[in-house]
Amino acid sequence: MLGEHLERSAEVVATLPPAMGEATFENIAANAVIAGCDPSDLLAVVAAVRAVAQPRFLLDQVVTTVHGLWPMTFLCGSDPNWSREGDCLSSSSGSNSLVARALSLVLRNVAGGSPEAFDASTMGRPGKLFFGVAENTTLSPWDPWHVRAGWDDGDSVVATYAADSTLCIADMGHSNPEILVSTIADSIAIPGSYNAFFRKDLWLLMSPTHAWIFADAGWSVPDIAQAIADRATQPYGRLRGRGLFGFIDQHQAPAWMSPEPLDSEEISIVDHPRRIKLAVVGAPTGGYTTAVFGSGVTTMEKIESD
Amino acid sequence: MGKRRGAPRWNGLSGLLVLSDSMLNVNAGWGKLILDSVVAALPAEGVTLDQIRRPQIGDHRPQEWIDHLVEQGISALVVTAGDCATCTSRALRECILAEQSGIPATAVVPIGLSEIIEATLTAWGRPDLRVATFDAPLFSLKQNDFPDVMQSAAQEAIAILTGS
Repeated sequence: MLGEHLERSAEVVATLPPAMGEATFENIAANAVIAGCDPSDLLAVVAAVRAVAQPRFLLDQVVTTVHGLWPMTFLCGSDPNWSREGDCLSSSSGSNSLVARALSLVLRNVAGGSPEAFDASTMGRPGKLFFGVAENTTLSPWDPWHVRAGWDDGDSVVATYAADSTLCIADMGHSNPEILVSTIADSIAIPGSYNAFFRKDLWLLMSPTHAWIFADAGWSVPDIAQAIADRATQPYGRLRGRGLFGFIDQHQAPAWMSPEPLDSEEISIVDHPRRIKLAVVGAPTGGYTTAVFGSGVTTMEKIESD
Repeated sequence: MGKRRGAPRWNGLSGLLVLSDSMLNVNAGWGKLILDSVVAALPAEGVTLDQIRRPQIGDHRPQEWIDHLVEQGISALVVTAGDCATCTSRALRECILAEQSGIPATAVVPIGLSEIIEATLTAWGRPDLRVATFDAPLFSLKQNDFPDVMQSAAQEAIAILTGS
């Protein structure tokens, strides 16, 4: 697995909270072997480890929480082994799922993310086994996700996000972007998600069919993000005392909340349209958008070239 | 006899005691009942209290917070956590950092999270640090049950701080 990186075996890639274990090329490679990775996947796994180790990812919180948070890995670039079309969120999805599985194992074996140690998740979720997806740049009407995020077109990048469960939003039988955006917005504006309370990043993995409905009507990615931020709202009276809003008392209201919110005040699922992370994935047939709920922010790392 | 690894104990039961409610407020509407239980277990005189409420979610900068408490010249620290595992782990980490700064510290945490308690204390080099525990998930308690459940944990916290 280490191959030409053998001399880097002892190199510490990151110190991973909460166990403060040192992730080295050697133990990352060992977990990549267990995951079934190909040696060509190693540097993507290394980049994913670096991404979750960024302080702003709050890895200790992701691992220790009673919630089911766990990293989603999103791969952007030109690796031919990544599966970008049908069944791309599943285990048949090429090396992107194996990279995600390897990251999960590193978190379990190096960062302490097992129920016998730091993982106190009440019930977990299936995505903790692996949740890795690659962008379908070929069928996307827009610039690649990583280019929109500020990287060079020739770069390969891994993004990580503390993900919760996914929701498949089906919308078919028309080509009206207004209807489509309303379906997506209404489907994600629910009181029980962490997003409703923290209002941080929210990923929308959009099938090419949905993406082209917007693109053909002249909508850009920022247009879609703005529309969803504007429309995926709930009146505070619908949120009060529900979901995580049950935590709130006079001492512990979140910083974004106005001091005495009116029941009629509309609260968006995100605190800014840029929180909507929109990427095109999957096969050309079928009109679906998968919402990936979660908590916190997206972190990114460039994948080293072999 | 092993070498003492933590701060000296709080012998005088005097000075500034900082109580921090670090849990997500699962009993919202009941007030700060764990903190109140610790206060009730304290002697009537000699202790100045500073009670701080802050949910342990989001960005966590424990060293900065402990440095701030050291600057305040505090005498002891109690951090409480509820059913929140992140809060529990982070509360313990703060206690360890306080002890490393010479401040006697302990936490009031749920025994139901014993795995994460042990893992955190071990990872941060203080498996010997004593903490006070309560044995019921807060979510299962009725408000009237709360004082009885918390009383012994609060008394245990004071005993840990004083070395008794």
